[in-house]
Amino acid sequence: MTGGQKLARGIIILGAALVVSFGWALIAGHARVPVRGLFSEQYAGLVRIRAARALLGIIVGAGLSVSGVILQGVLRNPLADPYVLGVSSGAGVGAALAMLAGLAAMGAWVVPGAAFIGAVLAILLVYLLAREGKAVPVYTLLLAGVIVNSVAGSFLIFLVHTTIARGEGLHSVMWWLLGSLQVLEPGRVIAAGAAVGLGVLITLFFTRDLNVLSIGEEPAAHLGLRVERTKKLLFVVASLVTGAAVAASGLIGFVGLIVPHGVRLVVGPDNKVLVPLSALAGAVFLVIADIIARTILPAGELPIGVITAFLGGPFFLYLLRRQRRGGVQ
Amino acid sequence: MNALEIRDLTCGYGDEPVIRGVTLEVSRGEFLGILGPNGSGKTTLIRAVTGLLEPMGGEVLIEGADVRRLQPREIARRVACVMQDTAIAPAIGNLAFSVREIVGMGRTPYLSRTGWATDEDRRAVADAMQLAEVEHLADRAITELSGGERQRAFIAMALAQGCDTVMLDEPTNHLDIAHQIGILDLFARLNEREGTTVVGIFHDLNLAAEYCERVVLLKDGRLAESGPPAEVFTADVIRSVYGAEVIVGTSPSSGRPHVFVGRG
Amino acid sequence: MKQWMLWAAVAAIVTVAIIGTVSHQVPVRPRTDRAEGDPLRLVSLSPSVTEILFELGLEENLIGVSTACTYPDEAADIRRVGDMGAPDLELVQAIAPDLLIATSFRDTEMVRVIEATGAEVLLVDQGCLDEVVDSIRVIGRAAGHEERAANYAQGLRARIEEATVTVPEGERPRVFVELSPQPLSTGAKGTFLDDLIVRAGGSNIAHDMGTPWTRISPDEVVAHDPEIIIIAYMMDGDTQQSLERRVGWGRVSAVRTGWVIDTIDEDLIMRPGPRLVDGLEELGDLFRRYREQEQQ
Repeated sequence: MTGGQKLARGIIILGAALVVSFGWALIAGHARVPVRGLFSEQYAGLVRIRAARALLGIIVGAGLSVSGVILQGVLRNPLADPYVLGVSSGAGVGAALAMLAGLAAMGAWVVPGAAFIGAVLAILLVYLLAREGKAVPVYTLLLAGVIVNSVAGSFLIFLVHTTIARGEGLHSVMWWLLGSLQVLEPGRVIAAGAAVGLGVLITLFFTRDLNVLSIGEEPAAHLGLRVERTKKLLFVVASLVTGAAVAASGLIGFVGLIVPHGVRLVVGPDNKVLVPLSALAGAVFLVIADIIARTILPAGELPIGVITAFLGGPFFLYLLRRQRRGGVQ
Repeated sequence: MNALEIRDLTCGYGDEPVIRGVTLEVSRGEFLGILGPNGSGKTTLIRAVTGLLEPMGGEVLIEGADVRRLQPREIARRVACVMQDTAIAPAIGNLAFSVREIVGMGRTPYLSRTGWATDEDRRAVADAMQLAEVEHLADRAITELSGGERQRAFIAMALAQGCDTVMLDEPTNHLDIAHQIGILDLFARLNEREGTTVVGIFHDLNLAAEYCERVVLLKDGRLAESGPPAEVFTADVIRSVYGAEVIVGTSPSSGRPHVFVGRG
Repeated sequence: MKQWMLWAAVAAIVTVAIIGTVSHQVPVRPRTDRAEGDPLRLVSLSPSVTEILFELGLEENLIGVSTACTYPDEAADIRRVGDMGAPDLELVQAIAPDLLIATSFRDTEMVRVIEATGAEVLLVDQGCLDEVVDSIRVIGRAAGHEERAANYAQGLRARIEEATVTVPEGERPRVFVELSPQPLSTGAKGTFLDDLIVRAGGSNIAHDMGTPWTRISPDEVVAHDPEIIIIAYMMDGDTQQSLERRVGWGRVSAVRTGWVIDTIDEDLIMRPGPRLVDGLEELGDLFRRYREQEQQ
């Protein structure tokens, strides 16, 4: 099967899965909404809430997955993921600072914007910490990610505690740290959707570059790639997308790891196929994970980050082992 | 028109020039060897020719066009490179690119951002794989190959670029003698049959003597000697460039010079 | 990884989601079914509000409570609609209350979402003792039982007056209430806890800490040398450590003389509800016994 055929088939299958899971998300929940009630006035409020959540799930799932593909490609590291590398925490610090400074009221763009800045700084920090000459060794990168993650994490806890003392909305920050697709302000969904949409679109134009980068930066340059410019642009795109996702839904981990590797397993490593299909698969994955988050407890919801970490943690360890045994450095 | 013209080139990293005023012309269809001690600027010269390094002074012309005026893609359609060891991104298990996909990357300078490979591209890839004798590996993952097989795959990738000039940066460095000869024979064939200009960095003086029509020796970023191997490879020249005592003899089969190690 | 493992994982995720979907579903009560004169449907998101509603005889109207609402025992039979301050927005919509009463929300945006479904939201302040009593009137008025609430509040106020003692500053025992051992925390001025201590004739060592519910360092406690320490752990997991074994605490008066009290039901002094008055009376008794012993 050629790449084009794989892509076409994948889009049809995952597109259908997305439609089904979106419809499912409208029916699933603690309040019973019958299928024929979906369009009736009686259930309109519930359906709207669920549709907004599912929409945010699609945006965040697609964004985090594509961000994972970008980081894996540019850093040439199969274990890269915005959460593992501390990019999400960096975005979280930015977003939390903006929220606690009371800037959120200035517009739906402020918190995602601050998250974007935090994400860019975190990527830069991890990259500079991990780089040894021209290479970015796999394990050094992970270690740098761990460090940035824990520093950003402590800073977030510090922020939460200083606001505890002032008796302010710390609970929402705590909750938000675990990740949730609960939509209380429609403006955030629109802002996240626009940023993620733009980021994914740009990435689609750079799939060949991502492929070529896998053979190394200098060989890629010999094939006519403007390596430094491309890397910078893709880092910015990954930060934009991660920042938007984190600002809208908090820290949902491992999506950028689980989804792209799952898709690779079926369609192979070609980024021309991988990027669009990861976006779709990530959307389906997060919509279904959110169905679990909302329905698994008899009342209330589980933070969705708990579910993705539950799946992603063991998966990460598995990849780490495979990487050690089978990878070529 | 010459394949390459390097005029009074000075370039390097940061403020420190590595190449200092090199002038070199490579005519079409030539098989040229570049040699010199470690750190003499051989790889830097390749980077300057392919536009990866901006010249500090002087200029580089590829087929008459100034490298600084060419887009990276345009350079990549004129000059292909084979590196001494290409570090492939680590992949989990067998999820690496196949040889066919890697060779296909050689078509990058011809493809638009969003377009798929055309029949012409696929033909170029098939021809390149045949020339580099990696057809039987086409569907294997690049990470599963031996060093020699992998190097052939990257040679096929460079051939798929369809360039009139190929630059080699010690392409046989880590390989055993059979692979070394096999790969250099391949480029010799290419040079004879297709008229491809081959510019190769060599570590091994004898391989260079055997395959190159002309060799140039670099020392401290300057051109020290240039000419046919038989003229350049003399004990005096080797001593002054490498600082090593050698005895130069002649190969019984090709009549070309052969360098023997002279133990102190 | 083999592809079958991927499909197995996908199948497992989908199965869990299906199980979740088909379990715990509550039918949605249409708002249009409402008739004039139907009883008011109430949801309480705070244990203190639940207690007040029971005291006002409104338990029949109560159709939803939070997971923290454990008193009285009958509250266990009422549907749980989420955690304190964090209602399940879906359940709230499904059971369609007329009025939802809370003391706080995890996210103030939730109020807007709930109001959009047609329910009213009442946020009551229960900082100090006066506010707790006032909140009874507010809740009563909102729930249509203004008179009953006013009478009940009146009664409580009288009991509070009764239990409030005037003791000269010098004779008040220095009191420390330990709300959790790790981190060490207590209540300062502006909390009903501080109110209770002062009205019952004690002197709260944390009175001037600045923030209402606050952490306190062990050396501050030791420096204030409390004469009475009351253990009132709110979390189930907290168990009392032996205070003598804490470094430096052996010389604190309360520890030396054995006035470390853990027999008071913490709900009586820590749940801002009508039972606080019981707590006030218990504290009064405790402090009186201490003063009497001191005078001997």
